[in-house]
Amino acid sequence: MNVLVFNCGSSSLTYKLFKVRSPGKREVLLAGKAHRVQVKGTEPSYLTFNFGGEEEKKVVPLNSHATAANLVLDFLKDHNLEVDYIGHRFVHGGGSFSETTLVNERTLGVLGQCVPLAPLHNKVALDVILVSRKLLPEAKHYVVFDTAFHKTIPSYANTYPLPKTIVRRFGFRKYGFHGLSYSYVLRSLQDYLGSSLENSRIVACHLGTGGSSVAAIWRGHSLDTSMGFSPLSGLVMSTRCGDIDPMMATYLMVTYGYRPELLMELLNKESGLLGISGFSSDIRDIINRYHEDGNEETDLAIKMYVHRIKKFIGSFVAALGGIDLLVFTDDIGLHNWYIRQKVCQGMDWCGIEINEYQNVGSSGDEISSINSRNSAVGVWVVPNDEEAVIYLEGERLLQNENRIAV
Amino acid sequence: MKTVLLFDPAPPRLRWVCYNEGILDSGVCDPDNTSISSVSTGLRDKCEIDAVGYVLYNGGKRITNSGEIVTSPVLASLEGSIGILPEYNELTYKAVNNTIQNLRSVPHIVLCETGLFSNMPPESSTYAVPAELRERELRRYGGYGLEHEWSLAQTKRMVGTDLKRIVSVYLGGTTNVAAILEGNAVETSIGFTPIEGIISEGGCGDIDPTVVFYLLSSGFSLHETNHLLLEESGFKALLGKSARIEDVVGGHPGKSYDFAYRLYTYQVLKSIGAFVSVLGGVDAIVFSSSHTGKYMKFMRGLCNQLEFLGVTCSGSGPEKQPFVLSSPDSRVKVLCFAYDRWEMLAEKTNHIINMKDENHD
Repeated sequence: MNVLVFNCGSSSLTYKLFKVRSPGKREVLLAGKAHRVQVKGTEPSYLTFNFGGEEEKKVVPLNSHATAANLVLDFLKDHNLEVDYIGHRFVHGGGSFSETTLVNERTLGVLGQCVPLAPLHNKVALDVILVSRKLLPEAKHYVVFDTAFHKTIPSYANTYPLPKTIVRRFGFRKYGFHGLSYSYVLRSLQDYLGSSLENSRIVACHLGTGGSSVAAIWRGHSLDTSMGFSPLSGLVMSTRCGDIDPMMATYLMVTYGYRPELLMELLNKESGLLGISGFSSDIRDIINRYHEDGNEETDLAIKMYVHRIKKFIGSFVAALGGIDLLVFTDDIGLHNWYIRQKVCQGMDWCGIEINEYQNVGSSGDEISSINSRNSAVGVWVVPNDEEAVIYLEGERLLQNENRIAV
Repeated sequence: MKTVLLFDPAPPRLRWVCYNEGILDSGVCDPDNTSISSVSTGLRDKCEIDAVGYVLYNGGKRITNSGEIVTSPVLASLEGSIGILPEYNELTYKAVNNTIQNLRSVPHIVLCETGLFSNMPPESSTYAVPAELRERELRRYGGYGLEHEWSLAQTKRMVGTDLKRIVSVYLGGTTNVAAILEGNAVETSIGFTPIEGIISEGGCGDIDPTVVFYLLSSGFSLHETNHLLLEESGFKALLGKSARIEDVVGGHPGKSYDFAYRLYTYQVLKSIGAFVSVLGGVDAIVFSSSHTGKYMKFMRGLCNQLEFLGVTCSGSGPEKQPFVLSSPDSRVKVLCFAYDRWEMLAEKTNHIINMKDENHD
């Protein structure tokens, strides 16, 4: 049995084709990524195929995610690769979806209604679902939601105290994101430790090159997270502002005549690290520049980035009534020892203490512990794999289906 | 104590009080009509005014001290800061401008609620938005600085020494939490406006900014959106009717009150945790309110949830003022002070003129 996984990013499409030998035993037959999809710029877009031990790079115009998906499906056809199941990542399931779901006409309609919740991500994911269904009508399609992991956040933590009619009309509340990453990391750490994390109070930091968030995890479930109704709030991100005063927007419009569309664009695409540093949205560039000439903007950008992470860790430690495990994941969390060190500095008040050598030495490619021997809190670097979660979710869905059938 | 006349903006008018060891006279006046004869007929006979104090709710980038003697440059700064909080600041400015002409012989003091926070480190005071927007006076100003300062002074008086790391929690219609490191504010929950941070009686507190754009693109006007976030949200939205925070924390029966209480407690708890993290630990948590009695259950509940920080609660009920909520062996002290706003403002005004006199000697 073969399972194809599509993972739409805002300007990329990652895919993997898994061959399942027996339950729990799988291998990757084909993998690759479409780069610079829908990006207007000087560099061309391209698509990669890792197949049979060789990597092929195809430079081709990719003006939509559907185009990229189409090319992947063509490749499968040309190489006689069959697909039984296709798993799709859908960022924002709103209040309508709290778990992995099979795609049918009815769910398609509801997915369509979810598009405005995350216009950038949801629209392209839906397009990819539609084109795959058209080209592979025999296969079963299912959707996995980034918001599903956070469905356990209690109402006192996810409620925005806005008038009830407004909340009902727009579905305003905290949803939270990066759920696939958090659930993979939890599963992976649990397998590695060989013991249940049921009784561990966990704070996990997903620090990406685009979006970042922190989650408080209790009894294996999400208790709170830094992102909210949309992926705009919470941490200082590469180009997103994170938490700001909600009155700021109306102040700028009333006093300086900003148009809402322009402001929304500024807060999503020109803010965060880019807005502060003035030259880069990438914390790695900013750290390098800071070490070269130590200018004020780069210093401030790094301080703000770290400060906001520390605030969220502190508030989640309070929410959990203490902390047992601190976990770092995604690009920056895995590969940037400098940020991990800054975040963990002065955190002995809650028992966090890292070993500098282990921290610097951690490759980020495999699970590693970076806490010092005396640290009361286990500090871990744990790689994530969103495609694997999409696959595993499918496996679970399938098992449930079969059980029902029996 | 000297006799002071105090003005506090309460749009569209100002409350005023004449104070010396207690309220001598009080009332409400129009900003354009603040001469002694008009705020109180007969006040001149009862007492001689030694100084006048004016509350300024947001000093913006121009008024950066919590107490400032009015001079021509200060008056100009005050005028320049109207735009940052027009509804309130204009009242303060007008009151100063008018009164100063009628009472030329006494000092006039601006008492600024954001002064304590004007020197916060840039990583706390800056928003991660482009320079173009930051230049529009967008920063985190904080609030209730006068209350926090008063509370810190009480703490020092009681403990007898300066504690290094303090989380100060002001409990009122709008709750404000501040992180104090060696006497200086380094973080606070209120940001550009008092809407940021913790849920308030009509204000939503921290929400995803995307919400604002959703409302605007669905046909809500700017005015309607502001009104919704400022006046129709918070406890009012949760309870379905206007409510005082004292009702929420005071154990009012009902499911929606229980939920509002839970949500509020959770937000304050998270804010304390965030600031302990910023401070790298904590030596004291200090509450202040003008209704401490109503908050007893709330404060004790919070203390229980802060055990992981080294807080041990004393088992006994409320004792005499000021309350010590932590037990003698608690690693972190938890204190609670009941304060009177007019007394606090009068003390602050007196303090500023005394400092001025000392400098002159």
